[in-house]
Amino acid sequence: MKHASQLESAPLTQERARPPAPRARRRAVRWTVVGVAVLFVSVLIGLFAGAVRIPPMSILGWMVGDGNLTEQQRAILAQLRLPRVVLAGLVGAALSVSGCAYQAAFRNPLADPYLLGSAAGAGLGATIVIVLGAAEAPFALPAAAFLGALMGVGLAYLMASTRAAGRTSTSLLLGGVAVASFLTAVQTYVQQRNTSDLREVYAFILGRLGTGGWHEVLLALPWVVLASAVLLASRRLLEVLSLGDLEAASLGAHVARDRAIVVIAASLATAAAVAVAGLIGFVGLIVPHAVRMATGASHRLVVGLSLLFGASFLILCDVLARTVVAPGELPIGVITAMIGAPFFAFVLRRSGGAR
Amino acid sequence: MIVARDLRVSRGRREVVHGVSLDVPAGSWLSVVGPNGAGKSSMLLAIAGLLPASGDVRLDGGPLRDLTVRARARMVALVPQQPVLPESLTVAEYVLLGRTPHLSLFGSEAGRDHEQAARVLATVDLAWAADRLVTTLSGGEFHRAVVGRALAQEARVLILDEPTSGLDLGHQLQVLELVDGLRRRQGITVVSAMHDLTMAARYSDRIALMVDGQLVAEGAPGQVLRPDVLERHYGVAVHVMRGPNDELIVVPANAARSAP
Repeated sequence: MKHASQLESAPLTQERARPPAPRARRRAVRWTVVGVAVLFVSVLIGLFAGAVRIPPMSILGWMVGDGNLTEQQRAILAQLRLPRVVLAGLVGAALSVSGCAYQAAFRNPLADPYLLGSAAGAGLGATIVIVLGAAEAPFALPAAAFLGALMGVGLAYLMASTRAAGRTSTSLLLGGVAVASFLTAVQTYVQQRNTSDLREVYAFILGRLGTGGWHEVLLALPWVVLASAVLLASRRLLEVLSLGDLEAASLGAHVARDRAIVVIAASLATAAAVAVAGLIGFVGLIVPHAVRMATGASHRLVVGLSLLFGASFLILCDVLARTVVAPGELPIGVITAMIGAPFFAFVLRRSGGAR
Repeated sequence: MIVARDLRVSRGRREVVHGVSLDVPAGSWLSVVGPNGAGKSSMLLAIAGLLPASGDVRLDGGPLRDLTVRARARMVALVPQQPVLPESLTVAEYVLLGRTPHLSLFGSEAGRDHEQAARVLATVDLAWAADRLVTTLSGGEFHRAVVGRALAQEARVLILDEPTSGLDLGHQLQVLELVDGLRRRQGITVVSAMHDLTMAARYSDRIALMVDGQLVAEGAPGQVLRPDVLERHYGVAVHVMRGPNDELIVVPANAARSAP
């Protein structure tokens, strides 16, 4: 056996026992620093991009409570750009961390935050509010989307939690597919009966950050923070769940309960993101995978890094959305898909696939 | 000490284990042998509390069903037939997952858990690989890591579901010798499902022959592994011989018939 002689000559000392997983720890520290740095630069770029030119150094000064900005520049930064950057970061972080959680909990690399019918539910909720002409009422659209998303996930859970369905991750996935198809059909029906609102419905479905302000940030923030905290606390649990039901149970995990905790937290974050930003595709799918492939890290680290890199990714996508065809604006869902797919292909090729 | 009485296990609507009773004394090794589909794995998983079953299983006198999931995992550890190979875990992280039943729901490992993992890594001769990804291990090394993860649970009962399937002869011996050494040194009780009858005879104190969901013979290896018994239940003629160290060797009598 390899190195057996070395073992005999170096008995187990306290020093040998201490280092838990130096490689994993070094990797965690290194990538967290990179993630924070990338997020900081992304925020700067997000604050810099726009029709009115404000020098980056002045923005840096403003961020530390200093600087020589005009009143108008301050207003642009504080009331327009910062809330939008924060909202993009919040939504990107929420979608990415949920995607990461779903992929581990369902052991399915194709799982994304919209998997369990949350997108379809949110779409239906938003469509109903829009065709009722209530979309202008404060909080009506996000509240309807939020409730719709939770309803979608709740229905999927109900379908999967019968004894006949076996309460397995597969039955939950299938329940999600069935619920999503049904709710999408209802949404399409409602939409077709009210074609005058088509444009607004599509704007929601393609994702939007353009209308984002501090209101939306405050609306999403508590849910995203709460869900992210639960998912961060569950990162070891995700590692255990990703071994499959049998092995997780043999290790003492309460599989159905633990998966429910993860799925509920991820769904809450997704619902909050959808409520304030509509349906922004691809983020929850590609960010966790890209992070995993680039870092080679386990679920445990990918959860936290998904928060950081997901926030950065969507902030930068939003910068593109509002600058590429300025003064017009592209739906951010178009950007995430157009950037996300080739980027994903690049990472996939570079890493030789998922390890 | 494991005591099972009238154990019945169903998969779907079909009952695959029909009222099995057995006793496994503490510190002993029981191997369950039998043709494919006999219900060996189902019975093992039921004893480990991982499959719903009717009947009674007692571990050290206490009913299995009274234990919480975590308490059970502190008493019984499983080495599954085909363990999932995680993509991005180091060997040390993998073994640390065995500490799960000793942690709270959102807890993470403390110094004592790391020490236990390091001890286990040394025991399974993988201390040198602690920092390597499990995906870079050979088949035999990964099997040792799985045994290490089970040992990290600090359970007194080790359930091995065909622990050597897919391993070459050398690696089979490595894994079985490892488990045997643990049993001798630490008094762990071992229940395994085995296909290789010679290996089963070599390592087990007792052998249970399972056919169609029932135990048809149970006893010391020499009592169960008899040509007439094996031919009746496996459908092939076998020679049972004694090796140079008086160990039992089971080989098919007719190579052509041994591969139906």
